Amino acid sequence: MSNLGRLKAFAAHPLVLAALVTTGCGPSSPSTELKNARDAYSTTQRSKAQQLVPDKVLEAKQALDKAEKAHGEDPQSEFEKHFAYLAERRAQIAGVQGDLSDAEKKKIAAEERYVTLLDERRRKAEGAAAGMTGDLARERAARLAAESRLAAALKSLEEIAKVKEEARGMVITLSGAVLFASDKYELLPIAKNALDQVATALQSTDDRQKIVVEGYTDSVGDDAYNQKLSENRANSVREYIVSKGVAASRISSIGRGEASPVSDNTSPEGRANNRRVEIIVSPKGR
Amino acid sequence: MVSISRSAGWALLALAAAGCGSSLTIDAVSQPQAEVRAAEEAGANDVPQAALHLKMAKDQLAVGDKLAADDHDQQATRAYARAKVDAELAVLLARLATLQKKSQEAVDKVNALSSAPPGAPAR
Repeated sequence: MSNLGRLKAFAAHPLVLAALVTTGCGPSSPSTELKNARDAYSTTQRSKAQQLVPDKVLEAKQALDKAEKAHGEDPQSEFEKHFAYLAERRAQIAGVQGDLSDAEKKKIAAEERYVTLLDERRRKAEGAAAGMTGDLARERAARLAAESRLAAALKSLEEIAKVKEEARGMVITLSGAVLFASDKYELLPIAKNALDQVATALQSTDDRQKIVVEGYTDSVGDDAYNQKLSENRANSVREYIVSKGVAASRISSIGRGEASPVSDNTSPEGRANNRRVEIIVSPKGR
Repeated sequence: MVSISRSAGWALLALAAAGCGSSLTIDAVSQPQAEVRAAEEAGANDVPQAALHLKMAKDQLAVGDKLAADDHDQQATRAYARAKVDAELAVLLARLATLQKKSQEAVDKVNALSSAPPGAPAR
């Protein structure tokens, strides 16, 4: 028998054929199913599944190994195709489970971010509301306190001055006899006590309210002289009030002389009424 | 001779792996059926890719049933196994579609809130 003949006889032996087939020495090209399984596994390996669900990727690898083994044992066989089919699905399942894990993480992160944003906005809103409430409350309390102080100060002024509300504002009228000696513009000691109370009342008014000190005389004497005297008296009162803490920028003084008498200048009583200092506190908002 | 003996061993292993001598088990039949129901309940029919694998699972189930009826238990077992993995995949694909939708909704809510003016009510 020639060498070729011996080779053919050897190859034809059933055990040799089985060995060739089962060891993969026969036709070794993979089935379409196995190619698909390899591709699917390769895709899964490159996906997020590798990090997110490594156990599922391992299952896919084990399924592919089984298919490869079937291919090695019996290429293109029904077993190879069957196990390759399962392996492809296992790889796809691992990939989808990776996507599921990723989507779940994103969903949780978005939900947590939403809650965080809501908390931030609520805290800001509450802070703003609290600040607003606090400011309003403080402003209201301050206003009430100032009004209370003003009411108390005006009450005490009633003994030394006339206080009345007019269109030009609150008018505090002090008798000239209480403030000045005759023909003088220096304040009497007793006048300072009265003006202390006036200053207290003025400090209780709103800082935005302007104050004007107007000096008046009776009609006795020279007009120009009376004008100058009224200016000096108004200024004396202004300076004293400023020295007690009322802002200088709020308060001005002006001499009215004999103008605008409130009583008849023919009687001593009337003239006494006309010698006066009026302190006008402008209405709020002007 | 050593190589021949080894090949014979592999052949025996292949036969065992193929399920020679085994019969169809209840689990082999019931598991894919349960997975198919789960896929349907997960809404696989509404998700194209999931619907595709659900159909493949059902097809394999039908194949398995026919093979089982013809007493081809081994082939039926393999058909049921294929039906099971297709149904599993259909379940996961349906869940993924649902989850991705919810995840996108959550992201949209964050974006809407981020771009809304401070005083605007949260939606």
